[in-house]
Amino acid sequence: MKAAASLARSAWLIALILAGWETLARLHVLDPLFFPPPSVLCVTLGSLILSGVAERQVMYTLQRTAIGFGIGAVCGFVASAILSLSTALRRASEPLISILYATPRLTLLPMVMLLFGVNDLARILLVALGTALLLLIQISDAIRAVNRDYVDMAVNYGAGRIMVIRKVYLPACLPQIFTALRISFSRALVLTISVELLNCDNGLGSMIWNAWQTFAIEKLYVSIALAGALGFLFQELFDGLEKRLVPWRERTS
Amino acid sequence: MLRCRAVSHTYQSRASTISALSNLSFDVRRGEFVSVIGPSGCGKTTLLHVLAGLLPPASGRVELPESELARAPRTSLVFQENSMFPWMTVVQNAAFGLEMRGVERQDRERRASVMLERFGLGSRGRDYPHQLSTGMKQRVAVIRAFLSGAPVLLMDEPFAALDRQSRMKVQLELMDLWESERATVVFVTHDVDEALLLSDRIVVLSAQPGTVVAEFRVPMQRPRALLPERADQALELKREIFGALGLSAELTRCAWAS
Repeated sequence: MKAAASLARSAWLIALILAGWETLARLHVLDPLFFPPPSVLCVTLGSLILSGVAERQVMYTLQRTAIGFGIGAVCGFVASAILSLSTALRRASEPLISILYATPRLTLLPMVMLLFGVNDLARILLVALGTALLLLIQISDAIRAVNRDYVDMAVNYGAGRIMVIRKVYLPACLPQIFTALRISFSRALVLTISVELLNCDNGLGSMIWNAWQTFAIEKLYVSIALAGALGFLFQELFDGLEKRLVPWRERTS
Repeated sequence: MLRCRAVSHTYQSRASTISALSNLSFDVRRGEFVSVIGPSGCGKTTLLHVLAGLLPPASGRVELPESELARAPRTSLVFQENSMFPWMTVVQNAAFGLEMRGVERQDRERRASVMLERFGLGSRGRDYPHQLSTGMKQRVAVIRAFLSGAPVLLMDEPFAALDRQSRMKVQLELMDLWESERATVVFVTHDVDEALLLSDRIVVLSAQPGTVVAEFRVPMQRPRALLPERADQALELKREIFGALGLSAELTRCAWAS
């Protein structure tokens, strides 16, 4: 619903860009070989959807993203909970996590494949690693930022350890957890597509790479657009979910 | 009876040891409203944390009355800021003390709603704290403290962030509530007028380390009004309190300047 509203708000700009592109391509100001007009791309998109190719490739990508994201999210949560319980462990692991986080995830692909083989397991685990790292860092920060006053208040009213976690730490961290989930999902999607682009024979990434290799320019644009649309859709989905689950968050827009 | 006996507390920092409270003693009778005033840095907040049991005193001891209600906390704190949980609605915040005591949801929310209604917040029960004014938030925090069933309420400058008019309004409401519920209150403030309006007794602390330098009984009849009936009596008491706070020199200077 909100996705539709935000699309409607920028509809004129999108229309303007597409109309300009269409005109320039039709007038051969833009080389239609490299920039086929949007109307032609629409036909390509239609045929890819009708033949089921689009759906199949999107599903491959989504599956990898979702499984990797799911595994990574669980691991990230568990790891941040463990690290928040032990200061010594947190201090010791901090540099390690920072180094891993600073390393471009894609560069780890060969290593992961060395360990797990050239298969989907390796690809998914790489996505999981990326998700887990980001969530770990974000949630650990959120836990440490919880205002001491709220903990004192709960303890003052007789809350035990479990109650303090349930009534203070969890809800206090929820807004940041959501932000982290949203960002890490779009990162997971990007990483999945990048991995597919590099080394995979299906999914959106491989579709883009194949289109490039065979110079199927129209298919190339359509698959890029599909990847973008997918990212946008999930961004909005997480936004909506957050509004429902974190109703106390102050919103500026 | 709340007894605070020779309580001392120090904060250890890397460079030095800061003595926040030193040999501090005072009593509060059951149902008494005692204000604690002192210059900033006299350890008022530390004192409340020690009384609330959140901070163990370095030496000395605190005796608190047992609660008569099952599972009720012995003290209930009201902060100046962050006095409400941002993730709970107004009703949930007001009923938090009852929730921690294990009171059934329907029962506790009904009791909270009755109190909210009484203080003009009946329609705000489903709102979140960020939708309320500071005055409303502090009202809810006070309601939560009274509802918790704790025999001792500890308030840490709860109205300091309010503008003068809303502060007076909330002060009157607090008086009204206290007179009907008769809880024991330790009220930290730096506002002498506020202390005079609300308290039975005023304890004056010195600056770092905080220790009791004077105690004043406030003889004014209850129920009290914002403007004291015997202005001369109030003024005299105020002069003495300013003196105990070490402000007499400044007072003379101001009088001379005007």
